[in-house]
Amino acid sequence: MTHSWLRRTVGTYFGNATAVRDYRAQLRGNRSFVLWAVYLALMIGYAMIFYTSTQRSGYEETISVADLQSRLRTFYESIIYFLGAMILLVAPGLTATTIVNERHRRSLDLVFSAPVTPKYYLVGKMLSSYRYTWMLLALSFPVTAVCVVLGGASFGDVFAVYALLSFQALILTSVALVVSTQATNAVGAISLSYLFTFVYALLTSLLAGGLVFAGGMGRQVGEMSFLATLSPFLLPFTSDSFSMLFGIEVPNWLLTGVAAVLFCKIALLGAGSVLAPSGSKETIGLRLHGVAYTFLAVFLVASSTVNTASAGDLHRVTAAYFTWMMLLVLFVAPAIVCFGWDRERKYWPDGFVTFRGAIIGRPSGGFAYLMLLLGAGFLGAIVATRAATGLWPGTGVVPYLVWSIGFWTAIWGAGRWISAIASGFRTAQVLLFVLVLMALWLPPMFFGMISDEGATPGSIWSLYPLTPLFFDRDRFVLAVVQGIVLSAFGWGLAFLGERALKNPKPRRIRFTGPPPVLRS
Amino acid sequence: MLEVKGLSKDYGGLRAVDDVKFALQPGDVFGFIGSNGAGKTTTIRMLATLLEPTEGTASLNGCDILDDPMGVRRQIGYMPDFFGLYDDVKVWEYLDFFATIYSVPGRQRPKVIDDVLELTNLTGKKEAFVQTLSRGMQQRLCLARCLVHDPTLLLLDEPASGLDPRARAELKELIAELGRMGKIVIVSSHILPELAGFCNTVGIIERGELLAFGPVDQIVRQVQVARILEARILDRAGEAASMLCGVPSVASVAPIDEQKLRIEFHGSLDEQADLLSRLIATGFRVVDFRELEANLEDVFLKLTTGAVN
Ligand SMILES: Nc1ncnc2c1ncn2[C@@H]1O[C@H](COP(=O)(O)OP(=O)(O)O)[C@@H](O)[C@H]1O
Ligand SMILES: [Mg+2]
Repeated sequence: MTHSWLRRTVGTYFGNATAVRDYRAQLRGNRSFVLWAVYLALMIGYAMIFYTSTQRSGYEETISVADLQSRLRTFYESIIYFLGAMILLVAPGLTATTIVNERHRRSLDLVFSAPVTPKYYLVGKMLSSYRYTWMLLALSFPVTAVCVVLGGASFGDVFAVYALLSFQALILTSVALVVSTQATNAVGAISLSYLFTFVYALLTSLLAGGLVFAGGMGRQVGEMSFLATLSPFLLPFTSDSFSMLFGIEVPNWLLTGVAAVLFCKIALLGAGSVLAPSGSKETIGLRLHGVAYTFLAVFLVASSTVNTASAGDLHRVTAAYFTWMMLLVLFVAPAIVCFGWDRERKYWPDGFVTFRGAIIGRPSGGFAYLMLLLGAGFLGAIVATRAATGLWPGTGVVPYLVWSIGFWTAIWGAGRWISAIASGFRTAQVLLFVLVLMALWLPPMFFGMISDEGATPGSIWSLYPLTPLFFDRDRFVLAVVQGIVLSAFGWGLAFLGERALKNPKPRRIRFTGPPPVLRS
Repeated sequence: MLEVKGLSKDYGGLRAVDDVKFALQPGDVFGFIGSNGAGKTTTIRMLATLLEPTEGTASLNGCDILDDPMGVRRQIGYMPDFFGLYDDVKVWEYLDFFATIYSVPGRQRPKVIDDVLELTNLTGKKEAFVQTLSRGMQQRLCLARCLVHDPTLLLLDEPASGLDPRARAELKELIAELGRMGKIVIVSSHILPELAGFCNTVGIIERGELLAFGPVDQIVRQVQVARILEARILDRAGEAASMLCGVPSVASVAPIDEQKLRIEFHGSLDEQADLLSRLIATGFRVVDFRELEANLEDVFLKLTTGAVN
């Protein structure tokens, strides 16, 4: 039992047939070698240019050792930026087409008519494209090693940077893999992967920038949240940072590694659940991991930053974590609440509200699952506050919980209603996402035009659903009122959707096919 | 043994497969006949565990397609109605990939690959790239891929489409051989003569319903209502035709060419003998008078037009 499990697991990661086959095709012919040669030439050319420019300025007067060191440091940093950019460009591009291409060639059916689990197949795909990115990283090693030898950086630095770059590549590869599994054509998969990559680069860089420069000084080495090391563009400032965990100094590349592996795991589950039939163990695993990760994410982010707040507005700080961080769920909410008939049966409407559906990933579980996620996030914030400050946040968080329930009920109701009237699962998802985005994006612009007094009580801003989340002051009443209104709105839409489902418009006419076609 | 128990599949409002039931024994070569859109591919994909049935199930040697899909997959070889070949891969690498995912142990793989290549007559192409093979060879390679794990059930979805007559003949020979090896083979087609030769069991599907199932001769006998007679009369065939039309047990008479008539006949053998004597007695010069054996195609046409009416 254990033995066969071990053999299966080892077989998934070593000698994975999918990876071996892809690998053979990747290395075939001289395409790859030309690519690598160009890549190496670029890097060496850049090093040469830098080297000569250092030389030339050296004519004017002999430069001091310290000056040379700082120049080498600049060179080293620019190489790291180059590698960061390379990862952003290469990892998604390599991965985004893998599965969608197989779907197009329809070779997926061949693979899944064999005793292959989605996990085995996806890990193989992941290994083959990740290994390629990794080779590009490894090829650059001679250049960075030169910096170490000449004194621009230490081996410890270089190691941390390569580790962090690999982990970032792992995250980007995972995202692209999920996109590729969902996509229907290669162009869509590539564009969507690069869009996500762009959003990733932007968000992590903003976040890292905030964390790095928060201390006031430019290059602040030392303790900082590991989130700062997620950005490929601030690695020179963050690679040697660490976090204090239970009084121990833990290097951030280690934490980022753990986070990347966890992320990779849930991404594989997500992709696997798309490929597997309804109620599969991939889907159940994905749903359970989703709840656990929500708790962990809110807990980690909150506990690493909450101590800066003063005790007086602890409830506000706590509420800010679970309300704002939960908004990230908007990216996956369409897949949770929408339904439709155009795909496999797992997306068909299967009832109104069930708890079982939340675990096995059916549309009827949409409401329960959103509430589960909300509960996990809420718990994460509370526990983090308690762990970081030793204090409970107080009953002031309750109005914001009411608001959250209302907000997510409204999203759910809107999803149900849109699904009932839209022509398919995909359409419904896109429609819901765009509508929610517009509802959150447009009012601030519009209100900004007609009123310059800001979000004061009683102003038109009270109509905007996110106003209670500004947290510049307590908005208990507004939060509760909005929560109740949003709840009512959500249930109303959901019931409208149910009615539309019960009395469907004639949708499709039963097949009355052509006369039998015979050829002799 | 394969047992199909009331398989049904809905696509939204469309019932693509409706309560299909049949059972097959080892060595059966089953011709699954139906026009385009009849539901063959859908049925086969459900048996291959690629599609979830809306209702019903099937089991292969005790493994249920719903409860134990992996057990079923280990025993089947599925050849879809498209190739699904990879580019930039050699023939042996392609087979090696599938041998690996079917958990053929590493040491046995080279031998298994050589064996299936020999069976499918591709030995000389072992090192060739998949995309350089001819269509017939690619089709045989796909079949070779289905055989690497020695399956007990082969699901071949329109295997002969797009092949030239020679490649088709070779494929038929191969399929017949697989039947002799004791495998259950399901071959679907919308072209009848393709299957007539080597299947020992047939099923006719139309709009998702299995209209007939059984051994070939039994189906032919079951469905046959009128016998078809062909008569060749040296001259005045037209007159003979109008005379035959007056006979009560003759359903219709159609001239095939100047001399031949095709007679649809309901009567008994006695009446058939009488009919011939009458023709001769009237002075027609009959040189040939025989019963045509009804074939699958007639059966198919009869059944499916029946369904349309
Ligand atoms: N993915 C699908 N979505 C909706 N309808 C489908 C799908 N696949 C097949 N169908 C419909 O199901 C019916 C049976 O199709 P199929 O099994 O492919 O027929 P066959 O293989 O006999 O030509 C057809 O009417 C077809 O239009
Ligand atoms: Mg078909």
